[in-house]
Amino acid sequence: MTVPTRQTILDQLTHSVRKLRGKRVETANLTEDALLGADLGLDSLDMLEVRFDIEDAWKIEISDSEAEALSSVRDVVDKILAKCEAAQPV
Amino acid sequence: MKPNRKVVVTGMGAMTPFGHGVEPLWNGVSAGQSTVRTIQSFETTGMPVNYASEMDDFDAAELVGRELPSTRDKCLKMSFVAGAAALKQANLFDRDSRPSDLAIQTIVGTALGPCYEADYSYGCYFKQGWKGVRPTTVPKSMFNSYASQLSVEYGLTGMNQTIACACASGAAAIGLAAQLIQFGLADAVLTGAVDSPLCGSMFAAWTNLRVLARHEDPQRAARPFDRDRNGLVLGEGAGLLVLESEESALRRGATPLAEVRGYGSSSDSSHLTAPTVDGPVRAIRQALDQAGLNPDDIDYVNAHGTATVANDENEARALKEVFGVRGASLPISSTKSMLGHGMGASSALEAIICVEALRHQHVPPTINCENPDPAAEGFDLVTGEGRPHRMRHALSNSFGFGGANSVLIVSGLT
Repeated sequence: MTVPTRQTILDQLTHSVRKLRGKRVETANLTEDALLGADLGLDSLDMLEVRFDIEDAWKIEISDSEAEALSSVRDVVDKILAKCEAAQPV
Repeated sequence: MKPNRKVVVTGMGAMTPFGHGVEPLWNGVSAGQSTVRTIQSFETTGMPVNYASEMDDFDAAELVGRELPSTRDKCLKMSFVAGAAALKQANLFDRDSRPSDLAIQTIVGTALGPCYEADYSYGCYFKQGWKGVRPTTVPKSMFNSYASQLSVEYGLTGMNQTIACACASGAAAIGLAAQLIQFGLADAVLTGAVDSPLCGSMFAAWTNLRVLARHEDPQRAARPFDRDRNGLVLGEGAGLLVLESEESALRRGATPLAEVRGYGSSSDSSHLTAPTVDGPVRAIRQALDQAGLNPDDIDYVNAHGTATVANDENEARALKEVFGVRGASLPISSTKSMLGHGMGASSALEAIICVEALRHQHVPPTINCENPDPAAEGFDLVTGEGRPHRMRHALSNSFGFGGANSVLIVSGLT
């Protein structure tokens, strides 16, 4: 899999959050600056579902300790990019 | 301790293939219309039965008029819409308008629970292995997810419990809710049931149980009490009611629609699927006793009437034992002839139909009963078309696999 763009990752996250929370989350607010809890209202159960979609979409694994360190959408995008780049053949 | 509080219905909500609400339900059943159609929501190619009483998909948030959790589970969506409608009619939907000391209880029945979620997640497991199963499968596939989601979304802070006794689940939930109120243990309860067996794996299981009706015309397949009946037609729906002590309803200025006067419950203690006569008889007599009524006081029976060979013959024998010669002048009908068998939801919807029958003084018919079974001779089977009828007390039978029998008596207020 090639390394995705930041916009492609944002689109995937937007789809995941919309599927999860319906109209409860204004996905126009899903910018890189948004905080997962305070701005998007995602709780720990929601984050498990979002993480499930991320791992499925990008064929990567995010450990519990890595997931706990994610607080903003930017953190999530950075983490996915780093994992995808690391998975590229040398 | 004797129950001494009167229990009234102050709100009702229904989701059925007739439409969204109690009004389309009543208009449909009172007019004797069938809702059976070719199944559209999943693939049935090659199956011997491809029809059911199925409703179109819908947007629950749009119908309720507020945001709701996103879900694929039709039962959850039905619960949200029917629950909101019942609470709105009871003037309890808006949390700010509720009395501050009124803790609304949630007691919801379901026979099959979130079988859609189980069907979906098992599919993921067998296709993708353990990594394919979503984490929220756990809370979404719990039997109490519907009662819990209603409690969470609508701010219902009383007990939050789920009753599962197969096709009697709705009547049992309503009966237990009524008893809590009668004994002073609750003031207001959102109760009833929701069910849909219309997902691929569950429909396949029902097909292989070989109790699904087969007929060249799907709308004539559900034939309760007919000599040529050969099984049931599956259906889906939700029926939720607000039950309340009369005292609470009057204090709030809510309008009582009917009284839940009696509830009887028994177990056959015999077989998982084969019914007995004795079990239903004991439940009917217990309901009469609790209501303080005699068989002669009952003006209408909404039968369990699944149209399986075993149920209808058995139910007719039970009714004969309780009502005797009175059966000849006692209108009896099975609304499953129009709505199919929506499992536990049927028993809640049939309680709502009894309330509407009392309010309209009109008995809905049993359609497709063209040649009454000899076992049902001696009854007024109200075949073909419904009719006006003066009535004060309606009795609703619901019997479930596992030998669970639940009988409600609903009474008019005039």
